[in-house]
Amino acid sequence: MKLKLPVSIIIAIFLLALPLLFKQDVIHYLNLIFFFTALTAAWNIISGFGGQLSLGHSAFFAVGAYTSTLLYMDLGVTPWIGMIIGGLLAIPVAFLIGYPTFRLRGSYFVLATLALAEVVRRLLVYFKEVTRGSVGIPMPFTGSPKNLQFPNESGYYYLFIVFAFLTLYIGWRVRYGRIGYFLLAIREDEEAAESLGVSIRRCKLFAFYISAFFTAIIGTIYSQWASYIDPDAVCSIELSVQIALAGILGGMGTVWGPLAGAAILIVSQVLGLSFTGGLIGGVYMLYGLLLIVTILLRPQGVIGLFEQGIRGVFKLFLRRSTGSVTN
Amino acid sequence: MEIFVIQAVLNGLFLGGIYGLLAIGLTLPFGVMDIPNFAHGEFVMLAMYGAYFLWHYAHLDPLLSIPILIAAFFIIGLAFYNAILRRLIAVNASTPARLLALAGLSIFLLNFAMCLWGTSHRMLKADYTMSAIIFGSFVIRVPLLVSFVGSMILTALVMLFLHKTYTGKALMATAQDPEAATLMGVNTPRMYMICFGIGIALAAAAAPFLTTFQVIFPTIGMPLTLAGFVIVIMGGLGSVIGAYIAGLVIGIIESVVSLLLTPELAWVAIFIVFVLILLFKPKGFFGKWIK
Repeated sequence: MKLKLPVSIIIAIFLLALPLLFKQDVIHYLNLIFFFTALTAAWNIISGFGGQLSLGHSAFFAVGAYTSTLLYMDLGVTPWIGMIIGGLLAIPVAFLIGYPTFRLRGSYFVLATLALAEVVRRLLVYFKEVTRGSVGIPMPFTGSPKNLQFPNESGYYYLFIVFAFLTLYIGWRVRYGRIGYFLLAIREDEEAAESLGVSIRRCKLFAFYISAFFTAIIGTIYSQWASYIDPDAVCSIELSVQIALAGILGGMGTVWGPLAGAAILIVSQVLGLSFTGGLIGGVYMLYGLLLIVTILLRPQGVIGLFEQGIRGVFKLFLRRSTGSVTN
Repeated sequence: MEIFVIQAVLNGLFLGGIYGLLAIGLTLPFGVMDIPNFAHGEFVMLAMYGAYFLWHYAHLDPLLSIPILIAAFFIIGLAFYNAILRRLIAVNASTPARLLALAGLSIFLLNFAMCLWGTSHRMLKADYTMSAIIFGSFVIRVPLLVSFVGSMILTALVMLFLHKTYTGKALMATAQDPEAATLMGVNTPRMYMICFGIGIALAAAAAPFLTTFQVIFPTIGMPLTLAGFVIVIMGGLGSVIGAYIAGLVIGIIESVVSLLLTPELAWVAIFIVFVLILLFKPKGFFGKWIK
């Protein structure tokens, strides 16, 4: 979907003006949408474009959240630097499971990601002296942007929107860059791609590094936003599943899919909460159903529908306007 | 010290029997029709609740509930196959798509159990739950011993079924080459359905044993699924004997690491073993087809 410049500017102004129109609690949900957009866009780089399904991205999220938080709390390093360090630390973690699995076909990668998240969570609980264990780490609220904190949700809104569009842009660069075409070739036919000199493992590892790096950075932002982290909150299977669900709902391997998927995820969460009245597990039951139904009925995700719809509206509009000129 | 280690090895061996049994239920659908059943642990969890309620309301010993649960979960397995997997197999959906559908089912079942029964732990107290046999300087817990023997009997039954019955042989033929099997007159879609049903039935068969020494709660399934997959890959996809032996090995590793270090690190040890297998022996230690 290519957007014309004027349309993009109108959308940008609209997005930037949104916090002025709504109350803080509405902006909180918008933040959630852009938070998941950023996470899903990062996930999409390896799972969508790379074709390697990950159900353990919370592991990288946790690496980012814990690295920056511990640096901030124990050494006073600002999370702006901590988030880069966290992102860089996520890369060897990605290597740990990417290297052995990327030359294998089948379900090895997804199993390894799941197991990795479980291991990271248990290690975070185990090394109490460093991580405070399952008690978690509450953070003092300063509200100062110097510490990646903002006095209200609107501040975070701008932060999330920047990172959502940054990761979407990275995804776009990956998709339409050299690496994206390599990955596409690998997805289509591994042997053919390899015989033409594409190194499968290196391409997939590269995509995985980018994905892990940005997931960890979002983890840092989350830790400051929530101003509290514990192993169950940042390294849970639930978080990994939400990321994957948003990616699949939107459309794996599409540039704008993460945005659509994240929006559906949060809307269904809000609706699900009101339907089930906050019953434990109610929302996740709905997520499970959504995942099954999406795979059965529309495995390519909904973004195609959006594009058709928008294109249809544009066509209608254009036909009318051009019609008036010619007549 | 040695006594403690040998004791831990024994406990792990006995526990590993159950791991092996539930991994066989995982390796069959995986080997025959490339279905990684991500909801396997959740079916174990549901069957554990089944055994618990049969004991709680009907005072049925968990061992006696095994045939009931096997029959019930075989039918449940067929139902879920028809509801979700039949379509995916028909359009030849990719393995990740199948896996995601089953992951969705896993999330659904887990939270369904949470909605119904809450997050509290339940404990089934059979007559022999607390008893133990003292054997020299070793203590053998009766429920673990019963589980081990039970898992061996059930594994033997699965092997007999695969090698001695028409359905079993047809199943193995389908695993080796679906087209050739179809040409030989095997109803392969039916085989797929039966295979999935048997997988779920085996999950249900492992559950009552688990209830005799393990508390029951909704989130118990996911670690079991993960351990199960590590075992399946270690044993070689589709290998029944491989799954059983790898189950014993993982049981021993878990038990020994729990004793020497701490239970939290047992998982890390299993993960390291998993990564090593992926690096050096990704096809597992036993053959490719069902043996």
